[in-house]
Amino acid sequence: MSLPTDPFIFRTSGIRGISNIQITSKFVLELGQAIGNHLGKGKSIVVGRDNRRCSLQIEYAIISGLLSEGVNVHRFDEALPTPAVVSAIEDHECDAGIMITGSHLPPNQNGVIYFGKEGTYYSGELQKSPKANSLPWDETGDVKTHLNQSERYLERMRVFAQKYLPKKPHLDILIDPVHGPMTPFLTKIFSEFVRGTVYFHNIEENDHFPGRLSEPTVDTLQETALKVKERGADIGIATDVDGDRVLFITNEGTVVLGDQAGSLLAKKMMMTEKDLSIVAPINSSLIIGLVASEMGGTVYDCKVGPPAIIDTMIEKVAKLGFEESGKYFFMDESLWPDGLLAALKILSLMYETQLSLQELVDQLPTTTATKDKIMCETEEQKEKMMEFVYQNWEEFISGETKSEVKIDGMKRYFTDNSWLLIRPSGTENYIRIFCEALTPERTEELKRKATELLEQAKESSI
Amino acid sequence: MKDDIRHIFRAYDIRGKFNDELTPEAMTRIGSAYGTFCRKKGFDEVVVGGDVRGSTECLINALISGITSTGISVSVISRSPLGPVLFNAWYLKKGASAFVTASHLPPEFNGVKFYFGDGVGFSTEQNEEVYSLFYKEDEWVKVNYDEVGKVEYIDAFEKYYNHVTENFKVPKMKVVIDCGNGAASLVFPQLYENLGLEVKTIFGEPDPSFPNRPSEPNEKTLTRLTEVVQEEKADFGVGFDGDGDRCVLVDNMGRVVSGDVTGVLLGKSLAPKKGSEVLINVECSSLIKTELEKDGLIVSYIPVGHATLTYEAAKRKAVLGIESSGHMVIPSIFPFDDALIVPLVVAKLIGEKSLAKLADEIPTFHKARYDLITDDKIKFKVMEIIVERIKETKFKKITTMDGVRVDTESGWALVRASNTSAKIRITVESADKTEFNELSEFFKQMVNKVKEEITN
Repeated sequence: MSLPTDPFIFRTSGIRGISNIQITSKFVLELGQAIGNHLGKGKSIVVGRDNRRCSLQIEYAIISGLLSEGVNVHRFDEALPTPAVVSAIEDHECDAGIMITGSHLPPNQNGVIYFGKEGTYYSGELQKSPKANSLPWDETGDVKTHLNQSERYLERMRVFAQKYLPKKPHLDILIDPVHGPMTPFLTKIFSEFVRGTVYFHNIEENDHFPGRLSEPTVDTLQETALKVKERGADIGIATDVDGDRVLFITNEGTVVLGDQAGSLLAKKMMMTEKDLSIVAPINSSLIIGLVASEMGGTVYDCKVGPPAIIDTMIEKVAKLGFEESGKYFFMDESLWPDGLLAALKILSLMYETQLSLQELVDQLPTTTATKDKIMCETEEQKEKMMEFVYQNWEEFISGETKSEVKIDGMKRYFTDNSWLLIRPSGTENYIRIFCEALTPERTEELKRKATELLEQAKESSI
Repeated sequence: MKDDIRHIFRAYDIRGKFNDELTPEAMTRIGSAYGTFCRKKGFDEVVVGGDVRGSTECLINALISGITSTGISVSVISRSPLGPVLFNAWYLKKGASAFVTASHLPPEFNGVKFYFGDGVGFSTEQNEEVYSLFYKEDEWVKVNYDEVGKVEYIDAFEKYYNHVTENFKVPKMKVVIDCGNGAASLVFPQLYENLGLEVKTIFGEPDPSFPNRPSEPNEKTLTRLTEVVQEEKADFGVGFDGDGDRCVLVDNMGRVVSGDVTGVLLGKSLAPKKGSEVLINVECSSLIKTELEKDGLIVSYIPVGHATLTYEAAKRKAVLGIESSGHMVIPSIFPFDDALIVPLVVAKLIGEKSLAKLADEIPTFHKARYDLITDDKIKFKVMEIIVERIKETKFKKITTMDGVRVDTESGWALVRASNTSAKIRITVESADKTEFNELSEFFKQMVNKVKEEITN
């Protein structure tokens, strides 16, 4: 039940747990001390939070821990979206940032993300502070409370809105920020830069988000999609609570998948920049590859999860990165995925092409994707099975190979543009199968053969 | 952190050296214990404040987090003297308040004091209940994610200023305020100006290292104030302690006015109806009793301790309560333990007569306090023996309500163990110099002799 504290373990999306049961005041205080120790005395950090009920409890304890390690803290008098907090690291010339948010998780959970200066974030182990509770009173850190961070973030967003929507297009928009702190920013920017009606869904202030689950998915956005259609809006924009994820809904009430939206964003960017570099995790759709090759861009694969996306983007000097969850990274414009910024670009694409969102989606190549998972008993068995997969792949999987990537499991692209990925889960005892092709028959074939391969692997591992 | 920190939990407050004894982790535990106590009392909301000490910010954040985990919502006044915190808890009808401070102690110390919404401090027993919860994690209230307490900042000073200026008028005069770089500087100079006084402030920048004088205001530490009062030809001066709940007055001639004389002047200024009650603790001078009884007031003794003082003063509807430590409450004007009001009440007397003249009209007694360091483990045992032995002495009028007090024709003496520190305190006072010396010697020898017997 309790989370480890020595060391603390940051997963690919920070530290997460059940509020006030796993994420207690004491746990968070010690986490603050560990982060303070890692950062170093005299350094400065911004601490922000979403509007979950327990985020303040966590904020107060984590700040106490940071101060007790001699770190200076910049805090805010309001809940903010994650991108606003990450951009505040730059605004206040800090060395790091902390965001307290349960992000897309259910309301009873909360979490802590620890950002570096460049928007990179910490994953892996963090040791308990060996110097905890030893600093004298006059070496503890100072706190500064900023009263106008939302105004600064809004100014930042106005600059982007001016850039992408200079003509103030006529569009009717429905926003669904799931009661989160993105609400005022979406409302203000769209009423200032779009001529048309802004409709609202799930915007009432409520710290346990009754409207829908925070994670935007095809399933959770069914009601929102219905509203978009009912209202006759041109687009629906649905974020998660902390506003870094966003999914879009077409004028016909169809939820646009993250991979599709990422490909539309790539299209938008490639209208002005032909040799765009794009980073997408290894389980992403082949649509992006097709779109990129058509317009002259290059797609780089990376491991699943934001830390790998950011690292690969830095390495490849890529201006766009995304994952199917609805996180879109724009290296030149924002240190962290920003739902509002992504929305501005999509609106801009709609205006420039004079096409509806449904038409834009329909122009994308159609593919059939599927996934499956095979359970295994232990970590050891998982490894054995993967070894079997690597050795016997050729025997089971047919098709002419175009290229192969072996960074997070095994992914092979075929000359017919289909692909198959077999990947061990990082957090659970599963091996996952992902495949995609231009025809449903080819997808089904790949899935069937991969399943046979894994079943064989399981048998031989016992 | 030291393993056993039981000694930081004292009768009226928690006080310890930062990180050595009082860590942020201990403070989250204190928050959970205090929050649990408040839940048991049926409270949902409290006010939490803190003084300007270097470790206050670190500790107050930990305290607030612990309190919210029990489902109690917190209104925060992050840097303030005690008065505005108690005022806001009362004004906003909150159940209780907590104030992070180590009062007049050196900068490496910090602590916390608890009060109810009406400004009465937690009693020794109530504090004990909180302390016992500190060690019983299983008994803490731990609410679900959707019931965790909320936190909001409140503008503490504006309502406080308004309340005081609406309810209090003082004649125009010039005052020098020595804030001692403590929390008083955040509020009192501004408020005195709002009241129409001409204010000159010294050591008015909050600085947790207390660079100019020790935080405790007394004759030795207020030398600069006494000079400035004369240089500025001010009507009086006032020196505050670190968290602004006690003050010492300086007259227009630059002389420190004793606490006892201040007490008498307060009583006279309040000009209450005959038969009104004034409460003083047993360590207070008989001067207060003698002088105020002349004006027809009833003066009653109460045990030492400021929680007792505020509680009894409210319960008995006393016009004034005076503690020998310098805490004074005037429930008719302001029901809280707040030094703010003391100089203002005294100032009302100043007019035709200067403060120096007023103070000189009150007879002075020979008075001294002796603190004999005595281990916490034996101090109460020493007192038990003294209570027995005093019966065999020449003294006729003996009171044992709180320690041992003897009254003579021209003076008195009190011996009692401190509730809050490892000492036995002897207070001696007499109009007669010879008797004063005799009483002093007699009790010092008595305590030392009993201590020696026990230790051997």
